[in-house]
Amino acid sequence: MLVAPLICGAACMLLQRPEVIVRVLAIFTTAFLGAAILLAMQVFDYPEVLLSSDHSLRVDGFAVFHILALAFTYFGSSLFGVAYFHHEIAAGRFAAAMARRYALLWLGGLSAMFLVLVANNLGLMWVGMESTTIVTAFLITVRRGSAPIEAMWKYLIICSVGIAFAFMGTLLCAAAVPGTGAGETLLWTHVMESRANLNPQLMKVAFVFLIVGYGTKAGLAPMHTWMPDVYSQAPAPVSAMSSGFMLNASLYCVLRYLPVVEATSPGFGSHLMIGFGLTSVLVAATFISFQRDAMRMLAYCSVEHLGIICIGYGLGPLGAFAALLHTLHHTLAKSLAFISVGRLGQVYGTHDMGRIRGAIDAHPVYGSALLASVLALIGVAPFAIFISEFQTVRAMVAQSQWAVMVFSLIGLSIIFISMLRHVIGMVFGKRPEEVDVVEPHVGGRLLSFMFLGTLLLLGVWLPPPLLRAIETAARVVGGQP
Amino acid sequence: MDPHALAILNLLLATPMVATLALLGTTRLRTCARVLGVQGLAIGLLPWLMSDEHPTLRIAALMVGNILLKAVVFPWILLRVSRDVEVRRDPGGFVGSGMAVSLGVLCLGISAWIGRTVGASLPAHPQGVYVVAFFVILAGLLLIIVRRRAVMQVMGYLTLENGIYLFGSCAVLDVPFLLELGVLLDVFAAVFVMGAALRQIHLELRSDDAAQLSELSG
Repeated sequence: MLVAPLICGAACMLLQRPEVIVRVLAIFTTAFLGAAILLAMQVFDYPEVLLSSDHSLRVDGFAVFHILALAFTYFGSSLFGVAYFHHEIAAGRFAAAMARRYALLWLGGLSAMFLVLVANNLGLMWVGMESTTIVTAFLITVRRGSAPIEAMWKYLIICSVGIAFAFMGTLLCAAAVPGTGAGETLLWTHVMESRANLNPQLMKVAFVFLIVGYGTKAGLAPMHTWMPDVYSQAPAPVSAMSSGFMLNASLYCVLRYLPVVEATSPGFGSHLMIGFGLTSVLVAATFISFQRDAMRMLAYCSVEHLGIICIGYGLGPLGAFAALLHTLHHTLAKSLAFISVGRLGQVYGTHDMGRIRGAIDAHPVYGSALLASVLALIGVAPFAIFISEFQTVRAMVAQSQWAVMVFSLIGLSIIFISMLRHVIGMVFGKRPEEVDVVEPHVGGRLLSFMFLGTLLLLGVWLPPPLLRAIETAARVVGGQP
Repeated sequence: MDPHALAILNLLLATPMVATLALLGTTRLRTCARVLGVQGLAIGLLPWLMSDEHPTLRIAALMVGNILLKAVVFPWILLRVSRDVEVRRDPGGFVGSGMAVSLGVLCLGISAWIGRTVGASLPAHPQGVYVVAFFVILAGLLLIIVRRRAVMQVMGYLTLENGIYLFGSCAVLDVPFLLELGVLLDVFAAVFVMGAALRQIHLELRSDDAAQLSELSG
């Protein structure tokens, strides 16, 4: 699963027709999802699966939960890519050379993110995360023009600096670990076993660097500034993939260190998580209210949800459970929202919310999907996000975090009203005359139904294997075996 | 440590500091690329000189590779890119060269405090090493913020990486060879990609002025 995407990406370089290339991506990611499910079933039976004899690569419950989210996001985004690029090819904006480059980078990103999730060596995890920045930068510039270039440059510089900070944090963590001389210093399992003997001062400094560094890539405020620019300029499948999973992968890196710093300095890591989380929710609330571009609005919405997830992880075991649940729900809802806005953007020729009117009339499938996904994102019942947000608030009450609860709820209320106002205008306004009604394709219906159906189902019923996976993952974040 | 080795060590410790201040105060990109090479050479040699043990063959090979990349390859790439995008000078962005150097001196003061505080918990080396490492890191960040030209921002990123490398090679004694190689390759790839990005910016905007990249906001 680590090498296969690279082989498939290299094989795509031999293909001539862009339509075939995007279909190959969809087929490959479907197979990847199947392999991820098989791997998950193995991990459900055993607490961990070693992938290399030197313990550098290892999968546990926390990793496999994220691997499933990664595989599902890539699967959904690649399927949508077939329809999205069909229109780009027809418009002459996606030539064969571009498609080959896209395929290589798309699958390179998949391989790098998989490496992040299976790396037991914290240095290797960093290498994977840095690789995602390098590989995905040129996915932003599939469209020509100065704005995508600007977005790519900001992404490259801001995230590279962030990841450099994360490397500094990794080194500080290694310096805090008593060395064995056997090259084990950076193994996460070794760091966890040595928790009692770590230098607490160094671990504190390390965690600050790590949360700022990986947090930059995760889009936590105030390091989120690259995100609205990138999501508004990248092709919709790239934005869906990045928001649906890449942000989670960066946060995953921080979370590997959370039980370590909590063991050496109780409360330090969780307070930082809550602080960055709350800042993200409030910054998102401020910026969402006056957005004009639908993609930028969704980008700030990602800042908000990553903030909620961070707050959850800072609130102990109950909060960690809610955060994991929220990660899954956000991945589904946000992917669908980006897919809908991306397709509607092609129909209307813009992402300007002032000019997208009557979407449900122009494209009934994606218009409805946009409405439903935004309702899910703002936490309307019975969609699953309502449940995870409710669980997070319960965790705040259990921990007596009253101030955090009040400010979070204020932020969430502002976001609720602002996003609802924006989306009602887009979906129910009067369709401009120059925009033709699009006959929905069966693939679009199926894709939307798959995402929405899952969100609704998870809102009322959590399948026992998934519940077990989340509980296992929550135990890992909580530092329990 | 014998007096000659100590004198060389002090000289090498001073070199990255002076080179970094020179980077903050210089506007000619050709000079900046050369100064970056000198900084990379000094930072590559420092851990070697401070080590009490003779390095094994593979560690020595890694160090030589590191010096070659940072002192020769990266400056060469940046010189080529600045020639291709027809940029010779960076006039500075928010602040001029004089103010940038003054801010650099302020960074040095902050680094002295951080270096002494954090260095107390780290493996024993001349305390100055950690001060220099933190100074180079902070000055790298400063370069990225205060300079206009995208080429100079890449130099700022490399300066930041140099500082982190110096810190890591002194503070962490037990990092596997393959991992160091992986990190080095990653930095190389990052510089390569940034070079390609600079060419794309030049093709699109006919300039590499980062101040012109301001279409997206809000």
